[in-house]
Amino acid sequence: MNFNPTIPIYLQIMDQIKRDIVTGILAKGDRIDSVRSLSEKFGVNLNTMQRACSELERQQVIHTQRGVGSFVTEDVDTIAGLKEEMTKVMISEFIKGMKSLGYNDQEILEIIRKAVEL
Amino acid sequence: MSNILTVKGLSKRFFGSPVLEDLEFSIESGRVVGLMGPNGAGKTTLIKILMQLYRPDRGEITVSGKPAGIASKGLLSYMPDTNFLPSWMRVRDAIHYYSDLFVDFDAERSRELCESLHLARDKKVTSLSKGTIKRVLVMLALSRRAALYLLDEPFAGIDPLGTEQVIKTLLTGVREDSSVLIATHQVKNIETVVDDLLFLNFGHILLCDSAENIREFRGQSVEACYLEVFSHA
Repeated sequence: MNFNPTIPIYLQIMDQIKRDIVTGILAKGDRIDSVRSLSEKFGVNLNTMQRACSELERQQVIHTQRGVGSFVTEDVDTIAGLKEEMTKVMISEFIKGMKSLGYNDQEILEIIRKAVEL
Repeated sequence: MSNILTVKGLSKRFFGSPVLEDLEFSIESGRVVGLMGPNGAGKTTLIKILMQLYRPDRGEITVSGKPAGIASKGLLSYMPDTNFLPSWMRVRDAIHYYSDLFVDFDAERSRELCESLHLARDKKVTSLSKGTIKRVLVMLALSRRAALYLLDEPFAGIDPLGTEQVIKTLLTGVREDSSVLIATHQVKNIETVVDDLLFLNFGHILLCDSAENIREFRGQSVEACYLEVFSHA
């Protein structure tokens, strides 16, 4: 994975895992790899990976069963919430970009409508 | 979290000129620390003092809560920046040499490391390229079950593929409660590897912070931060 070196890496890993959950690469209730093998997979150190996992756990995206492993949440509302949160970020960035190009709300809607209909 | 290493008021002069002045820092257990600075910053001197190869003029060094001494040497595994292996040795001789020298040498571990670093055990050390010798030294240092690994310029002279292998080994090959101190000026290589950074410039610490803090609060990459801090020094 290529990281943006100006954003905390644990945040970027959290985003990636959330994205995998929303897109179904990680299904609800799936077991996730150990922190050690995840750190190898992402190419980051153990503490960074640990921090990403504890944050995800704090946000109840994953949960850990002592001695068994960590699992993706079974709660569909949480997963829907992740998707909504991601959508918000994408939309607000898009709108900000369009406004900086000088479009008003009406024009933005028009452009989107045309793009979707094509 | 407990400190594996604490340094207080450490100073060293060579022939009257100061090399290290009043250094204070500590390394927590389980952390990977990048010791960074330009040539002549004092990185190697600091590591050699930690290994008790040089005597400090002033200052205190504590390893695992005890003053540095003969016993604490056994907790540290050192990879020097130059090849010290006698020319008659093959890689496997070097492994035997290390397992004779250090009680914490793990032969099984050295086999795994030879594999992950792509080292042939029957090759003569003199026949190896500079980068391969570096990988041999990394393999030897990490084969010990030490509390703190001191690696002096582990990436110098290694090609990108070898660097990748060494980095992977550092990420996966070190036990969770052991710490690593990597002295290097190759900032980009260690961007995702290190927890903490120690910027050293002509004997002074310019910055001591975690890599995530640099990204989060300065909004900078480690490399950008390095350039900014050292160009204003």
